[in-house]
Amino acid sequence: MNSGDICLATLESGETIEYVFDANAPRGGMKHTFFTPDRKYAVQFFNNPRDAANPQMQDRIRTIVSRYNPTVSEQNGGALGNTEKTADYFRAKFCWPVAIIKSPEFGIVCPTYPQNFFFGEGASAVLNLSGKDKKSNWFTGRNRKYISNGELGDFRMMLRIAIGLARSVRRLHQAGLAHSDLSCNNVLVDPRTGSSVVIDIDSLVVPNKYAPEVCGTRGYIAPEVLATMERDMADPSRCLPCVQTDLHALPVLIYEYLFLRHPLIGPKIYSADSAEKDDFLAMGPMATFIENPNDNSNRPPDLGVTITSLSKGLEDLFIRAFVDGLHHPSERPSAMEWESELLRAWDKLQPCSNPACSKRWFILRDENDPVCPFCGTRMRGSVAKLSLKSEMRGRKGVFRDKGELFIYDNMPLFDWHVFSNIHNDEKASAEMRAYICHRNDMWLLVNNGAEGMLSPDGRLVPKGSAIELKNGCLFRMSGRENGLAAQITIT
Amino acid sequence: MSENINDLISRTNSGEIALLPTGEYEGPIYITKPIKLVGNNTTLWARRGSVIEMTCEGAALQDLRVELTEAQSSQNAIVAHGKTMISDVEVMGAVMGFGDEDGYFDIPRSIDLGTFAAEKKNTFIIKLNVPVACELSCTTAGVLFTPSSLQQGENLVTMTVQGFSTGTLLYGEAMLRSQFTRRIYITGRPSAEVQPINGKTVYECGNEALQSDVFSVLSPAPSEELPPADIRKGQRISLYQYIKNKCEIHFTHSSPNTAEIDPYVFLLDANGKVFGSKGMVFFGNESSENGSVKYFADDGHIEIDFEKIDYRVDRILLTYSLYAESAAQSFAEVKSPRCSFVADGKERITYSMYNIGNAPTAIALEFYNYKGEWKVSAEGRGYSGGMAALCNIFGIVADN
Repeated sequence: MNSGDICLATLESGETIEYVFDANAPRGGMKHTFFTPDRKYAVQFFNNPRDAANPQMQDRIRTIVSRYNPTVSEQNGGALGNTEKTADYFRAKFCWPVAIIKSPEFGIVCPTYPQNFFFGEGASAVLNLSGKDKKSNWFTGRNRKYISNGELGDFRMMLRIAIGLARSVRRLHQAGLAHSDLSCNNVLVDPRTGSSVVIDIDSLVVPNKYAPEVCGTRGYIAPEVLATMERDMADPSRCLPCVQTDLHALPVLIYEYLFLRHPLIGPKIYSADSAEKDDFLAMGPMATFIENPNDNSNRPPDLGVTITSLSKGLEDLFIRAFVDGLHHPSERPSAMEWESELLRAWDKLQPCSNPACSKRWFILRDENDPVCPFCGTRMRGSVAKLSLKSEMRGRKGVFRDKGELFIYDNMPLFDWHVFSNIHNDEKASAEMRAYICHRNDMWLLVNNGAEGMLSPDGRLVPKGSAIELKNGCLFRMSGRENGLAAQITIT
Repeated sequence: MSENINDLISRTNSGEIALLPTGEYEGPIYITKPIKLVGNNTTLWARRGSVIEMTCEGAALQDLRVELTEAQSSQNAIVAHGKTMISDVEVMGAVMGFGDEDGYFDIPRSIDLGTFAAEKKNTFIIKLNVPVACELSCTTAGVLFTPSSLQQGENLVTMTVQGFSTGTLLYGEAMLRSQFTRRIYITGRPSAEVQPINGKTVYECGNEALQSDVFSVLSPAPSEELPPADIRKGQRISLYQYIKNKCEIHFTHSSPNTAEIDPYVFLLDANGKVFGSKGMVFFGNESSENGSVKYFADDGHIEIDFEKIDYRVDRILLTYSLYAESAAQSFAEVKSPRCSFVADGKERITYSMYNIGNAPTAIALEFYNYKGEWKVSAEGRGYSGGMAALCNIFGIVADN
């Protein structure tokens, strides 16, 4: 066969698919990849025929494509409880295998990554990045300085990437799956839009069913896996990738997105014997969080912004992940905890008053001291906080605290800011229901489609109408069932 | 939205029922024949002026909320010029044509109790003046009115508030029912820190009609500006997210330096022919008829103003062609050809053209109007026949 020849593969469903043969096909650790002529799908075969013939592995991939597939609705043979809407949502978040090839040999068909996860021309003046996929270490590692500014996004977009990844991992874990190899290579990110996509799904681990085949990637392997890697596969004391090891890799990635550094790589020398041993101890049995509040031994002298500048909730999660849980896997926060705490932090974002601030946004931790931790600029003007309150079940007319947001000019508000029974997740509508404006030193709330919104005086605020948010005022985001009450505090 | 409800009403025959959809609909609503308007979680509203006007005998309203949003509470929300049946209709604003009910209700829209003692019993006094006898009740357990039956005229009502936990918020609703229902919101903050309130007056009649704290806005909703798009051959995108109305398109290439490449823009009608006598814009015709597409001779860029494009123009083709005596004879020799869209001084869309092929002319981009919205398709294909042949296709006779 020659490069450029069109070949035909037969799927297990009996359908056929064309792909372009390429003698220099990209080759990974397990598989090599061809593309369909329209380049919409990747057609992958195993490097080692023995892997391809392994019935266990085939069976696992079959389950991943069907019963565990969050990108297909339950109705169409996908994961349990998956609707068309949530399937659509996760199709953008995972590069999930769509079909199995039975001939010429066993293989899989995956969608190609969306175009925004590839660098375009001009992404870097120094490096030849055009056409390369956007692995996150391009943005968080030492090459960051060579990437053009337009590609780098800002702190808010990095937080959005973290939320998206936590949500994707939460979805996997909810389905009883573990990714087993989450790393900067297997999560592509686009800081311009704040989007992420999880790739290399076919190494997924189905707990208690199929054992993992990979150990992971350096820097993301959980310490207990690295520490026991030399032991025999059959040795019950050997730790293998699982949900709990994903819960180490996930916060490592989140930490990298937010701080552009690795949480375990610090100045500490673990062994003077050899670089290998030092590395083994640093990432494995002796690993120490660079921000460990009780152990300064690995703390770089020029740490800059730390987890204490994030929300208190996120700080606590990082401590649980990298102090309490670093060597005690059961202490690690779940992906769902990460998702909800990151969302809470998202609600505390404020734009930096310094137009030259490279991060542009920061999480406002203390409203009495509104300073951007990245550039040190104090916020100009007032800090306005919207406290949301939800009606207690079975107690009509009695509300309790649900959450807080710091508002800013042009802030959009969604269903989860209006109704207590709607959460910011894959099921929620992306339609903007209301927005905040700051005009002539007044904070205004404009209704853009929240039904039953009430003014502080109890008047209906129809779509297209607005109210002024004065300090202390109390109103209903919606007076309908499950509608939230809200109170504004301006300092 | 009011057209929809009025349309629905006009389609309903006398004596029949018009079932309204759930939601909020702006009035005014006019009823000119004896029909029954029945809501289903439906709110009809108007900023000012009446929300519903009935000019006939025998109409009926049922299960509705009717609210004036920006007018004073003394303005009429419902006006009936004939006898009208009312059942379960809540009104914010006054009514006219309903006998004693037309009188002035001196009641608050909301009462703020402030901070009161948690768990314990607190009492508040409200003095209301109503033109008809009413029943007053609260849907929140722990809030009681005595008396709950009000007489015509002034009433002194004691409100008992008890059993609320500290840290919660009271946001309750009291209903004042006569022929219509009127709602009063009651808010307050229970606290363990304060002594029980005993007989504090929180509303006293004798007030002017209530002003509204709601106003209309005209400023457009914010939208997040997307980062610049880098499009690929075959890709189609909507322009509005990137370009408001006008953009410049610049063509660049890296080598050979001496290649002379000129843009030719075709404004095409629905039949695929050039629109009007100036529908081909290039160095020989620097502007389309109304200036929607322009060529700038200084640096050879093109400007398109999408707001100005004649509605009969269906699509716009942007092509580039090599000058016959140029250093390059085919696009296969032109390295890194690239189109850059600049709007408001910023690069918004870029398109690097690969594999144009061995042709002297390249069809770079097609702009097309889809359901009133301009989109762009990245074509990037070579046309080996050259510019003259392309002109012929579009109904122009060219002499090279």
